[in-house]
Parts: sequence; C-alpha cells; structure tokens
Amino acid sequence: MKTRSVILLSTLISGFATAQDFPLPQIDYQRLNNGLSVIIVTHREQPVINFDLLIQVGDEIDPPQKTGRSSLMAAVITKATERFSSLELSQKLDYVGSTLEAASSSHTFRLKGDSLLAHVQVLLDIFPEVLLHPTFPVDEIEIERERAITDTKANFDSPHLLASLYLRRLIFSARTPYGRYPSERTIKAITREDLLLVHQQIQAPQGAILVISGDVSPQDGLRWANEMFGRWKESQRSLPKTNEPLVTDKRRLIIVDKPDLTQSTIHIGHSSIRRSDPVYPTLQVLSQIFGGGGFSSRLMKTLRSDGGKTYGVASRYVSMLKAGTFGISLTTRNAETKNCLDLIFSEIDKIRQRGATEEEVDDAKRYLIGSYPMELEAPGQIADRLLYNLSFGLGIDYLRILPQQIGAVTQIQVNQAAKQYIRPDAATIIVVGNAKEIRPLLREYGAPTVIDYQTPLD
Amino acid sequence: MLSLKPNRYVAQVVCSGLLSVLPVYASDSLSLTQRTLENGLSVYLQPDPSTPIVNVQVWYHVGSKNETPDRRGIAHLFEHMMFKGTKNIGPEEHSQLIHSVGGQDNAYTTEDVTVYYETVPSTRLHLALSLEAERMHLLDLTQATLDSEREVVKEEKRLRIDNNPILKTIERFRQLVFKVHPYAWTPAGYIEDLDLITLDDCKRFYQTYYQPRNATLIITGDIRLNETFLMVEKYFGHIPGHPLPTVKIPTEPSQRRLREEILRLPAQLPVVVMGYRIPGIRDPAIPNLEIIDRILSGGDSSRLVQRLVKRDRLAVTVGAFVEGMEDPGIYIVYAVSAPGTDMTRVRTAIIEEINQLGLKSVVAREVEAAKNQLTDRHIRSMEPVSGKGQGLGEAIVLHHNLSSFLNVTERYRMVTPGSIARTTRQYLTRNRLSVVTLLPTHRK
Repeated sequence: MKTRSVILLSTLISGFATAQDFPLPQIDYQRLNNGLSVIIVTHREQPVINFDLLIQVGDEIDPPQKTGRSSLMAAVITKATERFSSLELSQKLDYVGSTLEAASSSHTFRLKGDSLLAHVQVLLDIFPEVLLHPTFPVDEIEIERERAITDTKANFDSPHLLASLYLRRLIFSARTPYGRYPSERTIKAITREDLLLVHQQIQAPQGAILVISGDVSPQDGLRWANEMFGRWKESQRSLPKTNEPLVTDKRRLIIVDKPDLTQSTIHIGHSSIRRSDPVYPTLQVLSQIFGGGGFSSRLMKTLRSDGGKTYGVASRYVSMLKAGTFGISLTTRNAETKNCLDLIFSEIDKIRQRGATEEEVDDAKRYLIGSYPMELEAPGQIADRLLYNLSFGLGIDYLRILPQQIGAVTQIQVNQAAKQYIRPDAATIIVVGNAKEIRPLLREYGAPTVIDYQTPLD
Repeated sequence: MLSLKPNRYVAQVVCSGLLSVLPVYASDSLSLTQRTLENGLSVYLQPDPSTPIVNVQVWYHVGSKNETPDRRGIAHLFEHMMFKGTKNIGPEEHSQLIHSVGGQDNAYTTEDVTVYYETVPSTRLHLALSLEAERMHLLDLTQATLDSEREVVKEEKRLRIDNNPILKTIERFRQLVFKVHPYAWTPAGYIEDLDLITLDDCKRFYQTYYQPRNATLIITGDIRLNETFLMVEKYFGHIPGHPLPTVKIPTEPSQRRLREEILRLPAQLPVVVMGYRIPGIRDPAIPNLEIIDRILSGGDSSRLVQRLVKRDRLAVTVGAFVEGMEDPGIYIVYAVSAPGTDMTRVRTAIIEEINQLGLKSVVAREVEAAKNQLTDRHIRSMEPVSGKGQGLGEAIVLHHNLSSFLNVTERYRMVTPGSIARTTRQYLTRNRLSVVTLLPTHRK
C-alpha cells in the first residue's frame, strides 16, 4: 500500500488551510531563474508522465476581424519545428504512443503532453522544441485553417452548441471577446504573420506555470523542467489592452429556426459572476440543488422524473476571468416546448421565493465535497485542476480550500443567492427548432425574433 | 454465511476456507481476486488503496442483441427502468442516495451488455452494494413509471440520433451491414417499437436477464478483501439464481459483395462511413485488427491521416476503430470532408491505403509503434478506479480472457508484419465492405 503525504514547498501558498480528509499526492513547487513556476505532482500509481504548461495569454487579445487567431496558432504550433518536419515530429510521438496538443481559451494558452515513463525522453526533447522553435509551415497552416472552418460549419448541426453560441452572443455581444466566435471570414483573414505574432506574445516564462505530474520524483521533475525551459527567455512583446465585457441582460425570446429538427433545444440564461467573486461556492451549492445535480436536482425531478418531458435538463454557473453566465439547458419534443418553459419558470419562482430546505443544502454540500476526490484521482486531473485554479489567481492550496468553502455555505446564503443570482426577468430565452411549429406555442412569452440557423455568427 | 465457489473461467481460484481469498492475479500494481456465490453471481475484487473511493460495477450479460425485431430498444429502456424504484426505494432515490454521500452513479447499454455503476467514498461501499442488490431482485415495475420513462427514452433517441446527422448515418450503416442479426439496430432502438413495449414485456425481460447467474459484480478501489466478500454475501447471497434460457440469436449470413448507399440529409459536411465485417471479439484476428487500426489511424503519422489529410487534402478528419462485439463485428473507417469534396475519391483513397496493408508493406517499426500506442492507452485507461472496473468487465464478460487485460504485451505478442498482411487479405476485403455516404442537402 502506498502512502500519500502532502509536502508543500510553495511560495504561492498563503496560510495553508486545515487538512480535509482526502489525500492528495505530494506537490512541490519551485520557481526557475527565468520566472517559470514549476509544480511537480508525484503520483506513482501508473508509469505515466504528464507535462502541462499554461501561459496567461488567450483569445481575448485577438482582433475581432481575426477571431480564431490564437486557436489557429495553437493548432499549428505542435506540427513542425526547426529540428523536426511535421512527419518526423508525428512519427516520433506516435512511435512511443505519446500525445502532444495545444489549445487556447479566452485567457490562457495551454500545451499538454503525455508519455509513458519509459519513453519520457522523447517528450523531454519535443515539448520545449514546439513551444520555443515552431516553424508554422504554410501547408500545415492551410490544413488547420480548413479544419477550423469546417468546425465552424459543423456547429450548425449541433442544436445545443448553436443555442449556447447564441446565448453568449446576446449576453456579451460581438463587441466583447466572450461573445465572439470564429467564422469562415475571420479564419480566412488570419495570416502566417499573425500566428508568428501570437507566438511571440506567449513567450513569457515570467508568469507561466509548468506542471509535471505522474511517476516522477520532485528532484527529477525539477531537473526536467530546467532541461526543458531553463534557458527560455522573455520576448520583446506588447500585449493589447482588453476591456471589461459589455453585458446586455434582458428578457427576450429568440427562435433559431432549423426546420428539420423534431425537438426544441432550449437555453435560458443571463450574465453572472466572475470566478474571483466570493459568492462562487454558494452558487455551486445553489446550482447543485436547482439544476446541477442530475437526478437530485429540482429541474430534473420536475421535467424528467415526474414529467418525462426531456432526457436531461441542467443548470450551471460558468465563471470566467471577467464575467460569467448562468444558464439552463434542455431538449424536448416540439409540442412540450411551452410546458417546459412554464415548468422551468415555475421552479425558478419557487426557489427564489421559498428557497431551498436545510436537507437539500446539506445533501448538495455532501455531494460536492464527497465527489471532489473523484475529480482528483489521476495525476492529469490534478494538474488540470491546479492550472485552472492558478489561472484565476487561486493558490496551489486552493485544491484543499474549495471543499472547505463549500462546507461553510449556509442555507441562508443559498436562499439569498437564489433571489439575487437567478434573474428570470433578465433571462434571454433561446429555442433552436422548427419555428413554424414552435412559434405559435410560445405566444405568452412575447414576440420572438426568428433567426435562420445558418446565419453567420460573425 | 459466506459460501463461495470458484469461477469456471479462472481455474487458479482455490477455495480453501471461509476467509481465505486467493488472488487470480497479483503484481505490484494490480491484484485481482474472484469468487462465485452459490446463486451464480460472479464477484471480482481488485483492491487499490491509493484514493479512499470505491467503484462498483454490475455487468448484466444482456444488450440490444437480445431484443426481438418488434421490441428494438427494450434493453436500453429497461436500463432506465432500473432507476425507477424498488420495493423499498422510491423512483430516482437510488441516485439521490448515492449523491447524498458524495457518490456518482450511472448506467449504459451496449449491443452485448448493460452495465450499472457507482463510485462512492469507500466508507459507503455498503450503500452502493445494498442498492444494487435491491434492484437486482426487488424492482418495482409500474405502468406509470414505464409510461413516463418511455417518453424520456424517446427524447434520448431524438436527441442522440434523429437530430444528429452523423449518428443517423451510423444508424443507417448498421442496417446496411446486418440484414438478420440484431446488430442491425443500435441500443437506442426505434420509436415505433418503444411505443409497443408493455409492462409485461418489461417484467419478462427482468425475470429472464436480471438475476445473479447473468451478472458479474466488479469492485475496485479502497477495499479490504475479506470484509468486502462478507458484505457482498450479505447483500447478494440470498437473491435466487435460476438457469438462463437458451436464446437463439440469428446468425448473419456471409456478405458476398460490396454494399453501398448514399444518404442525403440536412447537414453541413459530407461524411463517409465504411465498415468491414470482422469476427467476434474473442477471435485471434482481433489483436491483429487492433494493430492494423493503429497503423491506419493512430496519430498524425498514420497512413490514413498522411494520405487523406496531409497529402491529398481530401478530408479534414479521418478516423477508424474496431467495433468489437461478441458476435461478428465491424472495422469502421470514417472521414469528414469540406463541403464540395468528391467523396468517391475519399472512399477510393481509403480502400487503396487498406489494400496496401495486404501487400506486405507494413514494416516492423510500424507494428512496434502500434503496440506502444495500445500499451499507453491501456495503462492510461486504468488511472481512475472506474477505468480498471471497465477494463476488467470487458475482459471477463466480453473477451472471456483476463490475461488480455492483465498483460497487454502478451495480447499483441503474435502480431507481426506477416500476420497483418494475412489478416488484411482475409477480412478487409471488398466483399466484406459496406459504405454509407452522407451528402448534405442544406442550402448554401
């Protein structure tokens, strides 16, 4: 039996909180001379190694007319380097079964690689090479550009995705990064020089974080980090300023007309808190009770278990760096569209007016705290969670603090939050479906704006 | 009283006393112990104390292949009914109880099996076991819950298949490949059949398939062997087991020629789905086909990606997988292309690449790479306790071969460039091929 202990050397830790009764593997922290933060998660159950690098620059710096630029850079950066052609690179990785991928979110760039311990040398060679010396070959750019364009087209075949894109667009507008999406037009406008510029903008060891997790000792992990990135230097770069998101919350009904659909896909939502807001843990408990908790949630009980109206209904708070959203989503057969909306708004009224019971609050807290270790089982999951937390300015020790915060949430706080953070009068309603069939059913919800589902979102 | 007997499939198990439990396999990283209760329930325990959680999986050996052509979808509908309450537990209370202790639960239905699982804090193992035992023999089937859940399942079918052009293509593809065998339909079934399912159908289905002799219980995680076996005996030992009926599943006749179809649907992108008839999951050809699959589609350096995406620019995505099933399955290759692509060229390029494998073009390094990829995938799949349970379930219930799970190197030891060429020539041939091409009908 392996014993797990917690040894935290982090300078990021500010007053380590009381230990919870779940074990975490050994987590070590060091800062390299160039400012790169290195976290080693020693987790030796399987002979696997994960490298996970985060740089705090993301899509929000893309100019609106070139939306998708950071994502395209991330798609191409792993394809070829000064030492390896595209084929050589993929052959080296595929030979040992390693994966390497990069991605861009609204405020981060991530590079992830994994390997069996026996083959880690390959990853040690390639991981820094793709970050520091990519060549962005024109043919690889064109392949990834075409893939990105077809991805935007494929969105039109997914009613849930379409509904969520429209909801974000209406809440944040195209003038704000949170409401902008790549389209064929914006992707075609991106040049190779644009990708080189973004690449230059992510060359910043100061503030970047590398997590090495898996079957590795702290000593080896630190040695690998130094080998890979000890000589990484800050580039001469200037980052454009990003503005606070513009928000428009108001009650409105949008029907996105897709005549071939036999179901309505409904999304209801409004803006909500940013991740740093202290009410975050309370909203996690509230959401669990209202619509986040699967069969335990009120929405699921009313719409699925009792009514058989939907396969699934969920509500969720999504918190980003500068803002967030609250949303409810479900699909139902066309004839039940209005009934589902009625039931959802009735449940909203109930929880706002009467609140949640003490038992519901306790059950939700028990679920959120009890299931937390299941989200931190594998080393890659721990690395993901650490980087998520750190990207929002939360420390390494927040891994332990979140369940404590959930545990401290009270019934009074939940019921106050229900009144304040579920706002039916400010909710945008999106229905993706057959407008001809749905529209007459929804008269009570006001005159809808009807949009053809293939209308470009740029 | 604890009374266990060895499982037929694992000869090494020795029952040498009430609390003596011998492993069927042990290594530094994995030890596995098995017993069979007197009622026929097969129990596998795999301790892993690294995280204080435990995963419980109950594998019922019944899936959509046990359905009749007029009740397509009953296996999956029944999976839903298993959450609708028992003699002592109310509808959905199973999940609510699991959630209230911080656990997670769910279930899934395939062509061959239906699997129920919970992951709970290890101190709550007894709750998960008692709930699974309860619904194994005390399910409360009522007309009201059937009516309500039937609508839920119909919504799931509309959501997952009817309103998803790619999955609709797969549904059509299955009908093209299988003319007689129940693999012709997916576990989602069909709405017209779901509407016909009666409460009596459900009761018969339950009595026939949901019983200890048709189930395998797999527990992985932070457990102590003897204590856990006692707990299993306490909750499951009294459930009566009865002989399983002999179910005759139609044998699919040999395919003699290429089958193809064009499907026109409102969609954005053209897609081609191609499938070769291959043997069942226990056939020795399957490890060869898994290696072939990696050579063709494992990563950017694979043959199909290099040819279709990188060289000819015919597809934006190309992928493949072995759809291994108990009865003869399919090796599926698919490609998604940009609008306007000539899909005949896509199909031709795929066939050419596959035919190359039959011409002894594969080199030892490609085989080695494929083996490395499969080893990596196997090890990663065992990172969460639920992954270990899943892998064990497949090895025990479907493969009837634990060593293929426990020793992945051994599974692929016999695969060589020569065996790949032979397997390709035997199975990846034109007369075993079916092709469905989805062409979008959306307006520009």
